[in-house]
Amino acid sequence: MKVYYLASQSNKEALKESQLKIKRLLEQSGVVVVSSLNPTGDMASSLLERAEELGQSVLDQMDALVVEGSGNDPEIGYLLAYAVSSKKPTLYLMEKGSQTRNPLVFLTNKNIPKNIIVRSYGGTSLEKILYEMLQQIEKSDFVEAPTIKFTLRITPQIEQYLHWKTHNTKTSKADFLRQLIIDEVIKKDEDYRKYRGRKNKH
Amino acid sequence: MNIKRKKICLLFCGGSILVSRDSKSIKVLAKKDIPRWMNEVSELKIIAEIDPVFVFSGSSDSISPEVWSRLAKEIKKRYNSYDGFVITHDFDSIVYSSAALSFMLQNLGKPVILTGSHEVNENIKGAEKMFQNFRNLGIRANLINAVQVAIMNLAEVGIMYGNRLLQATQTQKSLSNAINLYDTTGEYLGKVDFGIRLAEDRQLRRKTALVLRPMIERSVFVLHLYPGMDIVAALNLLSRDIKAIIIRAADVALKTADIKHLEKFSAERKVPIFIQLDDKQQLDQAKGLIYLPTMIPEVSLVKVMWALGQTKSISQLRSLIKENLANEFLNGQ
Repeated sequence: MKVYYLASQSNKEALKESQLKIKRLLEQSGVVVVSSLNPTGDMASSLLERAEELGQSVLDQMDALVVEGSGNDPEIGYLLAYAVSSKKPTLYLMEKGSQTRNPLVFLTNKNIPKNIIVRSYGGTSLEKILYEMLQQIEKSDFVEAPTIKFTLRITPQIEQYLHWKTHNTKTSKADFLRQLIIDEVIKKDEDYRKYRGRKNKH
Repeated sequence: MNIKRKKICLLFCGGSILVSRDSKSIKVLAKKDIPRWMNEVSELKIIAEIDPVFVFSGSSDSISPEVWSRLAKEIKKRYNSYDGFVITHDFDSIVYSSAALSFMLQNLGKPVILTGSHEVNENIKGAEKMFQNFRNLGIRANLINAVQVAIMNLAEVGIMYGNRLLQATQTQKSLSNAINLYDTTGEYLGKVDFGIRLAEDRQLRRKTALVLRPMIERSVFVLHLYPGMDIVAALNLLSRDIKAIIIRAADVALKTADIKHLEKFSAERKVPIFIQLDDKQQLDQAKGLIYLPTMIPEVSLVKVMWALGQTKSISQLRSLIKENLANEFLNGQ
């Protein structure tokens, strides 16, 4: 799983410590973290290159977003707007007692979409909050939009089957294949489920 | 302490089509359509306070020079009240409008960002399903990026499309990349990666008084020469209502006789002729003929139209055209 983590800009040392802790905890969970704390890291560079090749937005390649929003940073609003628009699973963290205003209050009717979780943290609650969020993503509790381009050449036999299966239905061939992979491959792969279970333990 | 929330003026000039949550395509055709449209993209309000203004709703090919002037005047009217401006615009003619604004809005100290969408053909098979799945992510992403840029430290007219911010006078259509319909002939003004990274050598915000120069002359004819073309015959077909002519002669060597013909035509019809050619010295002594530096074709046309709106004096036209007003020249000229 790939996560983009935005640590809001701040001069407060205590907040910076918390922000680094979030990054560490995410990495310990086994997720690949691309962070604003290290924007030119190898992973970030390779993702950017891939995005250029595919003509995609690099954020579209992320499985989830984590925003530490206790500092004053105009990028927070930008990332949250992207999260609302793209329905990307997003965790928005604010330190307990932070005076920074939550920009999500400006949404119409203050309706925070289901894919965005807002949590205030302090003390030892960070681990629990991050773990719960990763579990939710694993269980596909968020609505996922298929945004990663993947070209697959198929045989005439496969094409014939897909046509037979989906014509006169409201399901496209691509949707049918996506759901088939989730239901018949991923969910039934015991080894993979054990592997994910090990990764999330810490 | 919270940073003061920025205010952005969102001007509607076409290019606003997007897909609602219930998979209907909606666009702003009149002022009354704005509230419903804004409700569909309420995420923009997370970034800044947005004030919408209806300007125009026709198709891309009906965005005339009068609309360019109208956009410039609306921006001038509101200039001191907002931190930046975003204009929704159809992408087919966006280069013309953005170039026009680059010339009309002088001493610009804030960002003016054009973005938008193409008209989507809802009759394409699978379009409804695609909209259900993606809710027209393209325009939404463009709008989010444009509003974000409009609150940043920038004082230029730019076009936001895909993952690039392009300088208005350096933008041309690109067929090479699915997400980026347009490309730049120079450096990018900004790029979208995990956030938006602006070019270091961009114009920064400054507290200046915006100077509005919205006048424009629309009766300009463009003639693209090909080898062996009978220039005189072509020019004689022109209506007497034409106020100026642009001749693109980059691929054709103009003979001395051609220059003489053009001078004579210019004198008889009392129209200035702007010529784009490799050897500008050919025009040094020519009366009524003005050398046109290399620019993107749409930009050079708009600049000529704008210059004619400011003056009819040949010497003043020559000075205006020669000056690199909005970084419109190409090839390091």
